[in-house]
Amino acid sequence: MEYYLGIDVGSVSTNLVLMSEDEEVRQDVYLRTAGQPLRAVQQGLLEIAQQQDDDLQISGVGTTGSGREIAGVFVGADVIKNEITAHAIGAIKLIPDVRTVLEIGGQDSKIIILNDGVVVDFAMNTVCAAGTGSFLDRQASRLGVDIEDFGRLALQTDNSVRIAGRCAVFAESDMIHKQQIGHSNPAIVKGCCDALVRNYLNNVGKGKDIRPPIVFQGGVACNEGMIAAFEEELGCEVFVPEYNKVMGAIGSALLAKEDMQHEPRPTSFRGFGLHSMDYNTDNFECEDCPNRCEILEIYIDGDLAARWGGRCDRWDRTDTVSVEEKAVGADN
Amino acid sequence: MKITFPRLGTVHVGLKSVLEDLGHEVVVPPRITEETVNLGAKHAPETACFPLKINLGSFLEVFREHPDVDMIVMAGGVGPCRFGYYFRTEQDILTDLGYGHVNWVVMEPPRGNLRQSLDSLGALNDGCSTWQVAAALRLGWRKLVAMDDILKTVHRVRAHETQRGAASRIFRAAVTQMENADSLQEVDQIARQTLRRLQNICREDDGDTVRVAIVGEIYVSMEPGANLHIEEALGYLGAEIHRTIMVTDWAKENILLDFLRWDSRGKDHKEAAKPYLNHFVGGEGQASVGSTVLLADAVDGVVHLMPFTCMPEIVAQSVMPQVSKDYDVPVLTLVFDEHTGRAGVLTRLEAFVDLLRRRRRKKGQRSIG
Amino acid sequence: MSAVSRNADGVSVPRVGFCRALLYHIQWDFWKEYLDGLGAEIVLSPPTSKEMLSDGLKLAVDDTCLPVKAFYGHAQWLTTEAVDFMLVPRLVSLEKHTYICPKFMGLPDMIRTAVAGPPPVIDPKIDIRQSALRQRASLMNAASDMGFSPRSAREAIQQAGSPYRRKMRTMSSRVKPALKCGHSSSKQSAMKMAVLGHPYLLADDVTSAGLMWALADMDVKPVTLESVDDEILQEYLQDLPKKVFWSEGGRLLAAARHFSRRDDIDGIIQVNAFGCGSDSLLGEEAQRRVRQEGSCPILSVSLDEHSGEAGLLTRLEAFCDMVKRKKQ
Repeated sequence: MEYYLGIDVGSVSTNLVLMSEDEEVRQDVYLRTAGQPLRAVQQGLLEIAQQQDDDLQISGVGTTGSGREIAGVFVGADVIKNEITAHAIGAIKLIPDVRTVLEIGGQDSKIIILNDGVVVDFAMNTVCAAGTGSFLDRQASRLGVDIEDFGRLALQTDNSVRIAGRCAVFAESDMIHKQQIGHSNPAIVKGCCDALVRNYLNNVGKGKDIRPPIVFQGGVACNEGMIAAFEEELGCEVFVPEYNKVMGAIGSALLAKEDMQHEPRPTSFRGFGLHSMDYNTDNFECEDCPNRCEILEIYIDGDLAARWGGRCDRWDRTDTVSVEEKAVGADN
Repeated sequence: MKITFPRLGTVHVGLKSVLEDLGHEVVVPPRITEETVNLGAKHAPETACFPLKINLGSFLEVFREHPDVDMIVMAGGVGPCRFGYYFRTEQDILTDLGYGHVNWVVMEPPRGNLRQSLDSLGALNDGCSTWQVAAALRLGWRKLVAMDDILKTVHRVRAHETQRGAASRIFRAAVTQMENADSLQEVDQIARQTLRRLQNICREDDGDTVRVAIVGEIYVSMEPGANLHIEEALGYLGAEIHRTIMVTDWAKENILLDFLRWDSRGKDHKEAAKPYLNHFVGGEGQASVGSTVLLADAVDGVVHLMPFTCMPEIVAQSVMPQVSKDYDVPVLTLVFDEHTGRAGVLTRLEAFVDLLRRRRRKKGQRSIG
Repeated sequence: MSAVSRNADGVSVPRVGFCRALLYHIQWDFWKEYLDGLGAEIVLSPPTSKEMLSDGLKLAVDDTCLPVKAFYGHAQWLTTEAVDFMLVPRLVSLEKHTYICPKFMGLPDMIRTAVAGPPPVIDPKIDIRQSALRQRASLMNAASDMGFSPRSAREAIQQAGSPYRRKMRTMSSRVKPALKCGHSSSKQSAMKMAVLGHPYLLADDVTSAGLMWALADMDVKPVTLESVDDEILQEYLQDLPKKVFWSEGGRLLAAARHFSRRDDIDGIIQVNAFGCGSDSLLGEEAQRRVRQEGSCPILSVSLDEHSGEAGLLTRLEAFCDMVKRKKQ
């Protein structure tokens, strides 16, 4: 059996999925990125290597997420794709005729509109924290509620306290205020979910043609209060996939499979041995043209493994251009 | 007089040539970089438009290196877009910062005041004969036209280059050569050579090329330093670009032909925009809408560029969803200011090109089946 | 509610909706006389409410200014009122060689796109650059689009007069209640402050976050540019190195200079909507000129949907306290 690996490196979490040729998830790993994307990727590879047979055959690797580039050169990815495409592909796998994908992660959120299995519109929000997982985490801990129970709490009441949801700072001070005047925790939590949904739909969802079937994914999709709030606001059922937290990684694995079958070739994957290798990164400014690109380098076990970050392909290859040539400028 | 002027796309190639031929010393502002942007944003009003901030930062960079620059030449305007008022705001700020000695020559559109326009032209001519002036203008103009032709070719071939960055290198070389060219023949020769070199670097079109139109506000459309070099990024993603406004189009409409009240390309755009935006709203607002309508069938998608708080483009952005729906053409609006991050823009562009490519394949399959 | 209403003769007349926002605060008197003259039944949206504003926020693009967002909310409200037409005039220019703002010029188109299933939007154009004849034709066409006879249209235009006359005066009649509220107790106000902002912002309690009332509570008598003779403002405007091509923005700039020279004015408060184009450049110029004139304190507040009322109050209070101390 052949396997494909999907890696989604986000600012908050790093997820890996091992997918079989017949597109079944064999293993999924969900880790905190904690500011060290490559360390997280190594940890993920280790966990997979520990659970799987030694002769596991990987036929293709895809990376996505905001750290897709660095993770891609590190592991030797065959496909490096943005998270919109990856999440859309993941959702289509679950519901082939999906029209809307709502995705709320740790620090960003997005909406994807599809028609006939093709992305026709999308929007993403990476500026405001008011509609994301980290905001919910924070509020749960402030109310002294475990994040796992946070959403369930909202289902205990029909009462919702109106909370200003346009901005994280105002939402928080509003919640504190409501708490102080004696509203119950469930009502506040429900109010918080309602506000988040309103905020999401007014921001990333503005002007978007939202139609069922709707898939809700990302870390926040575990939250039952949020699911209920979306269903109430949109007036239709919202599907949450079993693997909602790792849909980007699933999409990425599917993209790798699609690409490797479209253009058959051996994978560039460096292997699971990566998990125990030493790596370090370096960077320099290319002075070859006025663009002054910042070139990043990654060394694995002391050897230059990859360079990236340039707008032209001058530094893309590691085999032919030696470090001395940096200063010379081979361009004519 | 030591003269400088705002940097915008390839404008400097022609303008430097004209001013030098009129006997002036010219300082071309350095390329627009993040530093230019930060410098401008630091001194400009917070919600002033992005082009104004860049302009200001660019002038400050010039003064830092060349404190003896004593004249700024720039275009004016009569509203309602803020562009026409830039020089007043910039003049005030630069005076506060100790550059009050600078003479400003502002080319107001003749429509505003013909007399004033002629006077400002006169201020730039120091003893040259009419014949000399005409020759200088002719050479400068030919350079701009040639650069536009070259850039249009770059927009197309970058999607097919075999070596990433090759088209950009050839383009940069052409800019330098063109700046130094001093006869019409030389200009034509450089143009021919460059176009030939560009043809030689591409591989064959595999039929999978995505075509993207770029519409929107003039400055962020034409100046790569303002739009985080998205033309290059789109090219590397395999997308051919059709930009609706080039330097010479803009110059024709706003400076040269304005007094004839003749729009070289505006008529069609206006007609096409009418069902969605039935009035001029300043700047390129109506043209952005009109171009989208006109190009809907010729391209796979439209990228609409605007500076944050740009009034005309906000109006355009407001009506764009209807155009996109009626003509079934995806539109991606990107808003730029000093806070815009390159990573976010690149992810959106990549996702957009993916979207267009998949749509295209789907349509292809359907038409075959 | 029935969509068909009848006039005294039992003839059905169209219900025409008008938004109580933006240009309403500049030239409502003209449009009211025009519609009355036609014999239309006027449905005027109520003063902006928080709900209307939040509807507007949903419909308008994020980067537009708060008053425009509020206008969308008013238009949305009118769609629930079974009006036959929505009158959204296209305001281009009220004075020679000037404009209002691009958003006013595109407003009817923006409403057509964003508000779901609006009644037909009727958009007569007000543009002083055009000949009187064309202006008249635009108003005639609008009337005929709403099904009125040319005769009644002629009479209505006759009755309403020119849309350009003394508009600032008619606006002030609407700002007055807000301006008066503070000193109804006839108590001598401790301070007199010039409040400079577009009328559609100042006269709308919700978009201006109740600023006028808050000032009154602080014992401040607000003075606006409507109290200044237009000739005085024009004099200041002539004195500028470049003609300002936004008529309203230019007036605010001129008024700032005028007030800064007046002894009876203790301070100037600039109120602008975040993202307002003309204010972004002219507001700063006004501050610069006021500083050059001398020592008149100036505060600038910017309003958007994110700014909390509490923060605004604190800033106003701090400014007024400071001015008061200085005065004593």
